[in-house]
Parts: sequence; C-alpha cells; structure tokens
Amino acid sequence: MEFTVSKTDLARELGLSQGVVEKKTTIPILSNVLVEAGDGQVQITATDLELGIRCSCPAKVTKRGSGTIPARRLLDYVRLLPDADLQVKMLDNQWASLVCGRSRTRIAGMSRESYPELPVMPDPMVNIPAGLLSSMIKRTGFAISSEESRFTLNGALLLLKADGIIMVSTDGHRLALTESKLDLPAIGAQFRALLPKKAMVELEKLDSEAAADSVVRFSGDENHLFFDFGQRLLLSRKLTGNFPDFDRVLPKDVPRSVELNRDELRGSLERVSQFADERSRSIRLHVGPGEVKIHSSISDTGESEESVPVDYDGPEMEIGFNAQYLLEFLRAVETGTVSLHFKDPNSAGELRPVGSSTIYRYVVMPMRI
Amino acid sequence: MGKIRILSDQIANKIAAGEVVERPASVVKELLENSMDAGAMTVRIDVEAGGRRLIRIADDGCGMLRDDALLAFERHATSKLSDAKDLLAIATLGFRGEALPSIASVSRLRLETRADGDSTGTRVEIAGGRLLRCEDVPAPRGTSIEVADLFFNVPARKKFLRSEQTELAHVASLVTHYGLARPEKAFLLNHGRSTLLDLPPVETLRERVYQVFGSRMLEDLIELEPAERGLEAASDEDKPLSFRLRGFVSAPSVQKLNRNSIYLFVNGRLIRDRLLLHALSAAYYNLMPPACFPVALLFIDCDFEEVDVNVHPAKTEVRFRHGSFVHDFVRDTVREALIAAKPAAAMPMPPRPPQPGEGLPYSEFSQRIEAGAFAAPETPAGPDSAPGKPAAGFDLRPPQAPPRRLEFDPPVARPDLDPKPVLHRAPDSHSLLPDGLPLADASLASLSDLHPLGQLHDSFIIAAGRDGLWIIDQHVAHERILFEQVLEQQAEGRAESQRLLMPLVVRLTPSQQIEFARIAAEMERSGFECEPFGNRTLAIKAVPAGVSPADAESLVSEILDVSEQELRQASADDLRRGMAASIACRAAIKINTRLDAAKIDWLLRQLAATSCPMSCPHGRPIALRYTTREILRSFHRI
Repeated sequence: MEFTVSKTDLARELGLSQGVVEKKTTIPILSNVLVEAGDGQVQITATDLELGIRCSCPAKVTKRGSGTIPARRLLDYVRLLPDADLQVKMLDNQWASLVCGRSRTRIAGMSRESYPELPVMPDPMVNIPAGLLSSMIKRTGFAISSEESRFTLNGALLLLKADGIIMVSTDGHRLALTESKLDLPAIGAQFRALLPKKAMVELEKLDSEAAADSVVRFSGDENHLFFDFGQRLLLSRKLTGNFPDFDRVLPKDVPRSVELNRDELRGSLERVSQFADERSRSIRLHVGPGEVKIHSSISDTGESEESVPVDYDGPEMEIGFNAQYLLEFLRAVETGTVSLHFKDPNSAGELRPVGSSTIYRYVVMPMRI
Repeated sequence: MGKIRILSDQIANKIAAGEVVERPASVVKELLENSMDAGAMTVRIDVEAGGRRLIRIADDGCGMLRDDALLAFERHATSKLSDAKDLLAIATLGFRGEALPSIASVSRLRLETRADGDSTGTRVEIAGGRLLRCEDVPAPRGTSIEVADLFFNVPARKKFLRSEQTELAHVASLVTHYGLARPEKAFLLNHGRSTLLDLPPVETLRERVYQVFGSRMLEDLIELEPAERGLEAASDEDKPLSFRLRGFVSAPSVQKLNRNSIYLFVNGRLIRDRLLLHALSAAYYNLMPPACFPVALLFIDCDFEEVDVNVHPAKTEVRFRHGSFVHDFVRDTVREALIAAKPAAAMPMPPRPPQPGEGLPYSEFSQRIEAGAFAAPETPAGPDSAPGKPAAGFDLRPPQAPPRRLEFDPPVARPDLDPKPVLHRAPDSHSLLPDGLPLADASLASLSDLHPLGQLHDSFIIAAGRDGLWIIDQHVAHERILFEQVLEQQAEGRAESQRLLMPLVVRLTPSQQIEFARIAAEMERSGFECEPFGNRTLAIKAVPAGVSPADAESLVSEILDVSEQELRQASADDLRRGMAASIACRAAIKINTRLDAAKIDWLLRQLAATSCPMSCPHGRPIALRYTTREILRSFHRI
C-alpha cells in the first residue's frame, strides 16, 4: 500500500476516529486504525466492537492495499507535521513509513488480517436532515445514567414513526423527551432501537460537522444501527433491554405552571447551589405570588437564597429538587424562556421550552428535603 | 441405717478440687493470687513438664506463722474474710478458703514460709491431703509452695490433661495476665531451665505492656486516658458510686479473629465477661468488620460492693450491680478514645528483626507453643543477627530480658532517628533532611493538612503530609463522610430523599418481608419511601438522596438482610447505624472513578472533619501512611 494524502485531511479524519478507538483495550489490534487505500481515496476505520467508524478522504493512491497503525501515535505525530502532502507506505514487515517534507518516520503496525470486519450497511431506510439528530442528542444525552440497572439504560430510546422521530432518555430520577416532526412514510408503523451513550457522543460529533443541507442515511438491522454521512459512516451495536414505558411517566395532571427567564433561573441556581449538599445537590423552590424563591443551606457551611420574578398567583408551594438536574436542562434548552409545571411537593415537576415549535419535555422527580 | 452420710473432709476437698483445680494453670492462678494478696513484690514461678511434674511459686509476701500455715490447709480457712458482710465487698483476689486444701488433696505439696518478724520458718508437707510433716526450718521471708505430681491420685483428671505445651501455654498466659495487672511487681516464669517471662517492676502500665508485647504491639495501641464516671446514688442511703477505666485498646486496623487478645480486669482480677466484651465490640462497631476483635487491656476499678465475684469457684466471672451503666461507660470511653486518637494504619511493612520478649502475646504465643515450635529452643540468635529476614518461628530464647527503653514518654528524639551519617554516605547532592521532621506522629488528625498529589488507578488518592506519604481509598473515605452525614440527618429526622420516576418493585423473601414490617418506620426516617405492593413485593418510591436508582434495589435488599442477620434484638441505634452504613456505601464515589483536584481536596477536607476517619463503617481502613521514617529507612538513610 502506498499513497499520498494531505496532512490536514488525514489529521481531521483520524481525529474523528479517536473517540471510537478503545483506550484501555485488552485486544491490542483495537487500538489501531485500519487504513485502506482504494480508488482515489483512503478509508480509515476504527472500532471497539461496540461502535465503528469509517471515514475517508481523497488521496493519490500509487499502490492499493491496507494495514493497521496505532491510532493515538499516528494522530499525535501527524498533527505536528507541517501542512503539506504526506506520503504513507506500508512496508512488508507491517511497519508504516511516513514521509512528509524533511520528516521520515516509521511506525510499527500490525497485520490487517486480525482486524475485525465491520458489518455491512443494509439499504438505507430513511433520510434524516443533517443537524436534526445532533440537536436531539443535545436535549436528551445528559439525562442518561452512567450506571446500568433494571430500568435505566446507558442509552436513549430512538423511535422513528411515520410522522417524526422521538428520542427519550432517563436515569430513573428524571426523563428527557424530544420529538421532531418529519415525514417518514418509509418507516411504516414504527422503528424502535436503543442507542448506546457512546454512539450518541460520536453521532452528535459527526452530525454537527455535516454540511447544512446534507442528509444522514439511516438504517438498522437486527443488531446494529447505521448512520451514513456520505464520506463517513458510523455504526453501532444496538443496546438490548426494555426501555421503560415513558408515556406512563409523563405527568398528565400538572395544574400549575410558571414561566421563568432561562438565564435568570440558571444564574440563580448556579449561585444558590454552591450551598447545596455536594452529593444530593438539593435546593428548594418556593413558588409564591410574583416570585420563585430558590433556597439552599448546609448546616455549618452556609446558606443562600435568591428570587426570580414570575407571574403566578396560585397557592404557595415548596418543592425540593436536585439543582444539578434543573441546571442540565437549562443548559440544553434553546429558548430564552422556560416553563415549570408542577402539582404538589410529591409529584413530578416538568420543564418545557416556551415559544418553540420543538417538542421537548423534561420530567424531574422532586426530593424530600 | 440411713443411706445418707456426711462426706469426709478429704472427699469434700477432692470434690472442691474438681471445681477449683482443673489443670496446672489453675494451681498457678490460685497460688499467684495468694501471693498477690500477701503483698508480694516479687514472684518467681518455676514449672516443669508443663506444670505436671512440678510447680513452684516463691514470693516475698507477708508469710505465715506456724499455726496459720497448718490451718491454711483446713477447708474454708482463710485470712481474707471474717464475716459474711465481707463477702459483699471482696477486696482480695481469693476469699473462699478452698484453694490450698483442694490443691493439697490432689498433689504432693510442700510449703515453706516465714512471717515477717518471725525468726524461724515453717515447712509443711502434705501428699494427697494427708499431712506428712510439719517442722521448723530456716526460710527466707515470704512463702514458697511446691506442687509436685499434680493429680497423682486422680488418674481420671490426669488423663484429661492436654499436652505439655498446651498446659504450659495456659500457665504462661495466666502469668502474663497478672503481670499486666500489676506492673509494679516483678514476675519471673521459668520452664525447666529456660525463662519464659521476666518482668522486672516498672512504673507504668505502658512499660509493662512493652515488656510483655514489645514495641510493635505498643505502636498499634491507644492508651485510654484514665476515665471516671459517677453513678448517681439511687437512694439517700447509698453513697454515690464511681467507676474508673484505664488501659489500652488497639487501633481498628488491628483485627484479631478471636477474643483471646482481650484482657479484662476488674479491680485487678482477670475476668471473662460477656457484658464487657459486648461493650468493647459496641465501641468498635462500624470501625471493624463483624467477627473481628481488637486487642484490648481494660482495667476497671470500682467499689468492691459494686461487683460480685462470688459467682463461680474459678472466680473468672463477675456480676455488676449496675451492669448497663458499666457497659455504656466502657463503650463510650473506648469509643471516645478511638475518635480522639484517630490512629492511622501504617503501611504493612516487612517485619523488622524481632524484639526479644515480643513473642509473648498470649494467643499467638500459646498457639505457637502448641504447634510445637517450642521444641527447638536455644538457638542463640541475637536480636540483630538477621536484619531484614522475617522473624523465623517462635524462639523461646533464654534469659535476655527485653531491653529497657530509656524513655517512654515523648518520643521526640529517638536515639536512632537522629540523621547521623550512615556508613555509605550518599554524595553531597543528597543533603540531610531538615531538622525537626515530625517522624512519629501516627494520628489521622494530620489529614487536614495533606497536600494531594494525585490518584492511583483512579481509585486511591495519594497525598503528601508532614509526616510522610498517605494513600487514601476514595470509596471508603467518602463512605465514612456520608455515613456520618446520614447518621446526623437520621438523628435530626431530616434525611433527604429523591423520588423515583417509576416505583421500583422488589420481590422479598419471607424473612425480608417480616423484617420490613419491623423496620419500615426506621427506613422512612432514613429517606426511603416503600409501600407493600401485594404479597411479598415492595414498591420503592423514593430512596435516600445520592443513591442512584441502579443501586436502590440491592440497597433495600441488603438492609432487610442485614438487620435480619443482626439478631432481631439489635437496638434501634445499631439498626440505624447499619442502615446508614449501607446507604453510605451505595452513595459513595466508586473506585475506578477519576476525580479532579478540587474534588480530591474536598474529599480530604471532609474526611478530616469526620469524627472517625480511620475506617469505613464496615471496618476497612481508609488511609495508609508511609511514614517519612520508613521512607528514610527504605532508602537506607537512617
């Protein structure tokens, strides 16, 4: 294998593969990237067996072929090279020779034969406009628990229906749901899959880098999900397990609500929660006529209170929440105004954006403080 | 003629001997107690063949006149009681007047004694309870009793004696006990021609502990400040009572698998008492894993009326008139001492060259003797002959009294700590360490000024302190912090709880269900919200804040199981502590979690603020310390 490629192109594509390459792998070959030179382009593949990414960039290929090179070392080195053409050649002993300007380097690679084969993408089911998935991930990704248990999964529910896409995530204390209306007649009844958290991170990266008017071709087989961006392909193993019945969790009866300025509320919460317990992050929201008071205290350390003006004349009520949970929503929501819906101190509260056509619902369970 | 007849004295004595004289060690005990009661300052004990062939105890006590010496072998003859009222306030170790006749009835006994001020001494010889001889002899002041051929006339009992080593171990441990109880007296124990124990008189208990157990053990022990607690008089007739406690307890990092290293003394008498053992375990609750026991030497002094020793002829059991008061007093005092001392676990270092005399801690000692390590005695290996080599098997080295340490109190400048030039001096670039490095401050109080250096394997915090290098287990450290927090919240009844989106339905075993019914209120107090949900199912609606939903199920099931094990009679306080420990464990930072510098700093500061930063609620140590001294030694700088 021998080809010449622009250093900038190669560094960019290698950078995308880093999130997938296993860092603490027990299988050495998985810390390598697979480099394949074909018709006028090179393909770079990385996988940790759960998640795979294949990127390509144009190259002048002198001799077709393939080889694997340690991912981290290759990227670190290529990044430092001057912006110029880089000549890559796979030697017979599985070493890669890199020549760029006056630099000559050889890196020990490994045989291509032991590199795992990625599953082949079936025909695309639907086309999704670029940027849509990444914005949905931004709204839900933070509510995924990092620990697995019976009803929380390390991933989000991806639900494709004929009239749109729904993404839901939960960690057992809160639930984030977002829906984008989209005409997807090809789906039929519905397509349901659990998307692992790690895949969501990579998907968000690829999707937000994609050209504005491009589309993502989506497909899924029994065990895998595929996202094809043209030059780049992300594929992920589906998570197995039952996602909880989110419809039952969404509060049906939330008689009271207040509208709050997002940045005011966020600032207040950030300040007040400095005086909340480090682990539980508990704060109290006191909703009263004309204002929402936010209060927290740690015995022996200090306490803090702020009020945010609101338009409210219902009964006074005090509800405890984990400030962290509220803040994560406020950092993700796009609109400048949000609404808080609640019933009583023991029932779920809900936050929603105000003045946006996007459907975004965030359910938070209260705390007893 | 009726069938019932009065037994002869000889038979009665033999029967009493069955209760009092069980084995050679019981003889030693009775005679040793007599010596103590006689005010002896020096006691020399010689045994042969584990005490089966010969036991000789010689003291310099008050001695006896000729008539007394004869009378002493009559049953129920004693100088220690005069009327029944005395029984209520026994100040002497012995009081029953049974020991001497009992021993005399099952052995060949020879007594030599001379009372203070008397010009001649007396010798009495008795075999199997029959007086053989009584004559005037020259004798030193005091009493010497030789008991030979124990059980020669009771073959059944003789058959039940254990091996020589076992019997010797019992004797040795007994002498050790009395040696500990009376540091001001000298004890010498010889077996055949070898000395097992040589305890010259010392002034403080601390020195005696050093003589008996050696310096290694002493490092792990915390001295209790002498504590005193008064008990209000119940009525006007009673005078107010006071109880005093002193002694040593071990750091929680010392964990023994049996109670053999717990020595309890009440008014100088060694006893085994379940009440006090329980008090001690309660003090270590949440500091030590269950089924582990500390090393302890506890001396309780109280008014003689307060404790009844007349429970069993062997006098190893006592009854306290105010049992629960004594229990709480011991528990609180020990716990406070542990909290105040905050002992840090040292790095487990390769053993240093053995200290002579160190080998005598009772249980290990006796086990080793039993294991036969005793068989290969005198290999005259000096204490310094094999540095670095782990202590070879037990070596009952002859005489070699433990080296007397020059000074006990402030170990400010131990002689070997002065950074004096070493043989192979390092080049100049290795300058000496600054003077005044605190090298021996083994307290976790210094946690607060630790300077975190980083994390090892994302699990252990490495920190530099004034006195060395510290390794702190982040999970158990956080567990301890949360544990105290949860306890505090429980006490104030304001446990924070987080509701779950969907109730978690848990299947219960039948016993868990019963347990739930019992402790439901306590669980709610700790921040749970659970509802029975049909038969043997429980819906968990809220869990204590900080516990992730992923852990909620196992947490509830653990709590219901734990309290089941802990015998149903566990007090509400124990229950709460157990629950708090479970909650803290689930909510704490896990190992394999990367922490940023601010978080590490926070953790250390919080840990320093806890009252017991030495071990987690399940008894694992939190912090290990690699002292500057040990670092210096490892680099051959001292």
